[in-house]
Amino acid sequence: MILKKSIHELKTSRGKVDAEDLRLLQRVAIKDKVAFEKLYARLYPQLSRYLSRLMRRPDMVEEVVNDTLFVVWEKAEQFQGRSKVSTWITGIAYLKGIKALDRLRMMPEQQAQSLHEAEDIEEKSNLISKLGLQEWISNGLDQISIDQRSVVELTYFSGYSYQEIADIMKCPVNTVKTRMFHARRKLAKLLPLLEEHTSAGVDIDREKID
Amino acid sequence: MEKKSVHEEVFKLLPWFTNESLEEKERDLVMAHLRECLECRKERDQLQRIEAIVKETDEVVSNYRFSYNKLLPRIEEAELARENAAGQNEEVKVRNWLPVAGIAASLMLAVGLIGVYQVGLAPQPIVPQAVATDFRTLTTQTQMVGETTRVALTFEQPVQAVTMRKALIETHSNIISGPDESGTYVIEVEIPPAMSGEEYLQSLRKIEGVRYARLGE
Repeated sequence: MILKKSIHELKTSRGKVDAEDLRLLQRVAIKDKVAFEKLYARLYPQLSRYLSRLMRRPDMVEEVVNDTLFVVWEKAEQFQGRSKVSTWITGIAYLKGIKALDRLRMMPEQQAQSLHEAEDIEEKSNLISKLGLQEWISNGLDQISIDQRSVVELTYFSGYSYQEIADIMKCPVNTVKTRMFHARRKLAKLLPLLEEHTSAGVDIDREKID
Repeated sequence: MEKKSVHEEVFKLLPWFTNESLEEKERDLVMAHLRECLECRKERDQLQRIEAIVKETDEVVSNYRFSYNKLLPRIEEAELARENAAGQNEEVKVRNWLPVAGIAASLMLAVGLIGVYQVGLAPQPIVPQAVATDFRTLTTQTQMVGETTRVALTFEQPVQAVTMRKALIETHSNIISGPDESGTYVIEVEIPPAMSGEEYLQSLRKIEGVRYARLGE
């Protein structure tokens, strides 16, 4: 990493969080393990959540998080500063997650629960009660493609702009917008049922109801 | 922009309007359009509800340490491989010079033999000097046994990471903080007993990549 930009220059344009990430990454580039652990601790929650929702394979998340951060350790000096540090690292995580699933040759859509067969609205509503809100959302996310899911996750959970998502997923901005458009259409079908169960005074028991 | 295309564009931008990541110009475009488009207002409201519900399902993430400890052996193995490769490179450099050094030594010896005309003296084999392979990285904190001092070390800009790393290894230091806005690190060092503080700082300033060194806080 050619350390051209000063911390001050980056701090004013990106925010304090990114300035601190950059400071730590610069130290990782010179193989400072103390700094690496701090960076790991900072990014671990965000990466875990993202990969968990992206891959729909909780058993693989830890391995892919570590694969991602190992690349950060090895390649920290290659960071050019054209994006936020978290954007760069999330981009690595996205590719690692996709590759991990490719290796398994699994389509996440195939893991969708019996929801696909539940055509009847009443049956769907009963399923919400049975599964709990969290699993309902989880199953809803299963109905969209991995790329659409990535866009939804990066937008709603991680708060990235569409330009940052394009950088992470290495695709044009219009592709990001199109993927989100299609994901919205699918998720919107779930919304009326969700609202029945999340309106004031109605608590969803998040544990499975047998 | 045509009215229809404004509507279509705003419709697509709404998720990033709700997560508040739009640039000012686009945000103004969306807000102006929302004032006159019922369909987009309904879509915005729906997206806000989806966002709220999706965020409600935020998963609890376990403590990082367990996963980090699983990654550590890989990192240490990579560092060991890097250090061994650096040591082997030095040995290869010496080995590559052996034949040349051997020939040169033989020629010199032959000249000496011819000059002195002493029969029976065998040429001495060239023994390479032991190569120092004690490369230390910043992987482990340097154990300071004596009194330590904090020094603020400023590097040239731009500077290669490998140059900085060499400088920090050469100083046998621990990084305390940095870099700050000027690219300065505060490091903890042990000043050799034979040197004064100023002499030590002078020696630091001679290290490749170092622009300036001063006693830090």
